Amino acid sequence: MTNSRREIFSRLQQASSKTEQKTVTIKEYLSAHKRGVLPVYSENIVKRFISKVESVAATIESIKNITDLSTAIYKYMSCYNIEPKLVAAPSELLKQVKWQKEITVEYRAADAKDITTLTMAYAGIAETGSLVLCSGKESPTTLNFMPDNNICVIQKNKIYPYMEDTWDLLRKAGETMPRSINFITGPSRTADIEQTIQLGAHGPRRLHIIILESSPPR
Amino acid sequence: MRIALFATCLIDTFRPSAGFAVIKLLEQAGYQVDVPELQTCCGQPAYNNGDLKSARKIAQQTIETFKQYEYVIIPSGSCAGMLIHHYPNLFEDNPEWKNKATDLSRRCYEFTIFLHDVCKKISFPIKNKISITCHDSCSSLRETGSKQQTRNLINSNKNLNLIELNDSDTCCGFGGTFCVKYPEISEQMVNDKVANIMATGAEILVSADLGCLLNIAGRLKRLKSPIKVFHIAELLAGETDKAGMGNEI
Amino acid sequence: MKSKSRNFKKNAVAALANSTLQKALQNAKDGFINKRKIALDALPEFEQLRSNAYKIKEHTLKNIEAYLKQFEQQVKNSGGEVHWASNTKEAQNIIVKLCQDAGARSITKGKSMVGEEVALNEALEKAGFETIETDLGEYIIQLAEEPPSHIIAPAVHKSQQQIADLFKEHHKKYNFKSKLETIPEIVDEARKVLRDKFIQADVGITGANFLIAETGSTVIVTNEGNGDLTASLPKTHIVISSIEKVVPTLEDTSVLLRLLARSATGQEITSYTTFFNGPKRNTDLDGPESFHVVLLDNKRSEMLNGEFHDMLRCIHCGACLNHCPVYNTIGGHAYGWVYPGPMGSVLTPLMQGLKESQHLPFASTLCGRCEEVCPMSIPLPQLLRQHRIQAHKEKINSTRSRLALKLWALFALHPLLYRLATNIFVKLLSWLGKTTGSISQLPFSHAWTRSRDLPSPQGQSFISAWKKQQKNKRMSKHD
Repeated sequence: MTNSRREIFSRLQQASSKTEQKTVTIKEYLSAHKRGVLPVYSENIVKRFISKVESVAATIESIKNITDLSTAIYKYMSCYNIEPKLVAAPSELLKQVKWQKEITVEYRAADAKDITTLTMAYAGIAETGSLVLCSGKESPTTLNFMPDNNICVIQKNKIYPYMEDTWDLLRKAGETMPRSINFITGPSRTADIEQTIQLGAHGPRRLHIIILESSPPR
Repeated sequence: MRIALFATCLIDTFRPSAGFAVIKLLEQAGYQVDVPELQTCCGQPAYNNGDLKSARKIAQQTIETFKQYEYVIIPSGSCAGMLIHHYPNLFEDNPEWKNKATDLSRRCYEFTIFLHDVCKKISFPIKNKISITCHDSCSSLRETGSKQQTRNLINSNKNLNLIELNDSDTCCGFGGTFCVKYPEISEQMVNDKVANIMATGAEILVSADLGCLLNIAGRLKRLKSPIKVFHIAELLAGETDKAGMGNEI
Repeated sequence: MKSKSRNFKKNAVAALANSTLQKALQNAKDGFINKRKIALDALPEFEQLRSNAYKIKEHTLKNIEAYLKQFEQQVKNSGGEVHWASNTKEAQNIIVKLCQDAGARSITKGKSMVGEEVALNEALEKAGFETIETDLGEYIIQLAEEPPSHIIAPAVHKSQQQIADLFKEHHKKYNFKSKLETIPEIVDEARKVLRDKFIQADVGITGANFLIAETGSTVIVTNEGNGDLTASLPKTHIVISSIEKVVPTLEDTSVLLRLLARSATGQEITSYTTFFNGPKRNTDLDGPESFHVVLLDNKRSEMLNGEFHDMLRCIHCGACLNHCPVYNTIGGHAYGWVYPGPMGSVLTPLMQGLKESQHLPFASTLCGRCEEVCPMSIPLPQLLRQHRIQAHKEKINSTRSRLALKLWALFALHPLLYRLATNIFVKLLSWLGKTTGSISQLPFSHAWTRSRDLPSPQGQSFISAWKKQQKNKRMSKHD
């Protein structure tokens, strides 16, 4: 349909030639990455992150070291009567975890039968209590959306004030954009039936976030 | 100082007592009020029905009629919105008339705004305690922005007990020709409005817009409600012992 | 979908008589308005964001050609392909062809209003594909074979009972037989039925709230997570969107996102806000193998430099619907096509023709609440007036109303004649209402008196009375 492309652009060109002269070139505008208005808040970002997460019906806890992860997850699963089977993201850090014998863990993408997944956040956003997950070989996207329960680990030093910080991080990493960048704020929900909010529409019914306080060893 | 009253076609036709109440208050504030006889309507029916040619001609006529007055007082939010905001827009391609329209626009005041912002120290002769509720017209909320002034005027008199309406920022369903073009929709809208008015338990409903008042008073009357309806000027001039809109004289 | 806007009046009357609908509308109105208000009260920067967003969109529209080209290039760079559709037919054809090329049998869809605009489901089903909407609201109306009645809450007109009945009828074939008594039960059954559809689908089609020129990203905002399952599970992901959705940068998108969710549902951000960039990478463990973006024009390029330019800033939040007293009275279906409410009354005449949808611009009191709440500062009442001007020019509106207007203008432009007519009119009406103070039946207008009395005038017009008073004053001075 290259004809349509030509037609559409010719119509756009006709219209835009009548509008005023460009003051900033597109290239300059795109490379300036100028931030817009940011809602101001005064709380400490970790505190803000926690309170925002709780306000969207997710649960959250903190652990000191990665060695505490297995216990924390086992406790969480017992508490909600969840079968101790995990499908985890094959991330460097999560693969190092020594799981207690009660939990079975597989490292892979999700499939339809998986009940509980464990993921590793790329960043956290304090403004809204959002997790950022970027698809990649260590972070399959399906883990975020397929299970009933999603547990996500976020390093404390990766909690940032605003969504815009993610863009800077991605640019700094210098790689191309991942296929999918997910901002996840609470569990799945719908209000499509009589405006009543019901959790667990298609994605996770529960979202549990674990803040990892120490930076993991390299 | 001589000021002019733009009476509006609806006050002219349906509620002269509101016009006289406006004059009474303005005279009390020390102004001598003229009512230019050549005024007709502000032109909204043409403007809102797409007839720009007629709207422009009517605007030009109004601009000429009121050219010598320092202030033009308009006791209706929607007509005030028309003269103040829409007249200048009508002449985007005509600098001469755009200037004249803008000049008139600067001299125009919605009545409650003028009473509040320009007339200082005015007291209202209201003898008895009255419970009232107030309907803000959409134009007074979003074009002239007179909600606060109206509240201040009412609250400045200790005999007036204002009970606020639920959903006070929702349209009453008048909408000029809308109410006769889509009477069923309009009926539902005015029904919702009237239910909120009745829920206040107030004795009197006031508003600064006669279009809304005709619509609401007409519905209240049909429902045989005892609530009396007045233009806000009539309330402030202490004339609510007279017959309200739609009441037997 | 064929437009039924021509029947607006009939549709509206039917909607007013539908008590289930009226209950649903009341419920939805209060919910949407309150939630938005709470969200905005907690955001002192709203006005700043609004003017920020205005500038971003205006800058984009001024340079839309360059930004669309940049977007196209970046989609290519990330391994995807952009297709251009001048009109709805072309969009249908492109997508049907893409699905055929993918060897698809089953297709899942995320919610897309552009998809509704081009009647995509009809085209796909006609081409023999099983097409399943996965947004719960869209799924419900697909089962009911209805168009959406709201741009962000498509099934807002349906009651819980109606939905339970629909599921009972349509889920029998999947061996779901129990009676659904509660909302959690309904949601759970939809989850189970649609889960299989997600897994089986060969192609997933989503919409896009924004297209980002800088990165070639397409953005969706959802709460259910259906959009992400639609995009990530099938082998092919097709995005259908329209050209005005482009924004320059990720930062600009962040600004618009802050306004979108709050204006729509009162959320600070939706549960899932996702940025898609092309197909799966070599090392990815999941994701589609091919990625296509289909961009629709459908009259938008013609709006760019015309009177309806401002409408291109719309981010489809639905706030104008939620705050429109007419929409809240009659619901979305009465408008007769896919976009209802104030934004729909501007768009439908542009896309379906003014003659066909002549009622829509007039079915508004121009109360201005839509413009007041619009996060993109779109002067909706002025745009509706613009259609009215066009309707008047083209003599589309009824002869009767044109004649009435002409006659009225004749009087309004001749003050002496006007005085005379007013005086006669006032005398007549005063006489009609002299015993009760109001008139319950008018010989010339049933429209007013069907539900209202007409408060009667006070015997003479204001100007006559004032003239007399002045005369008396002068005489008493002389005496």
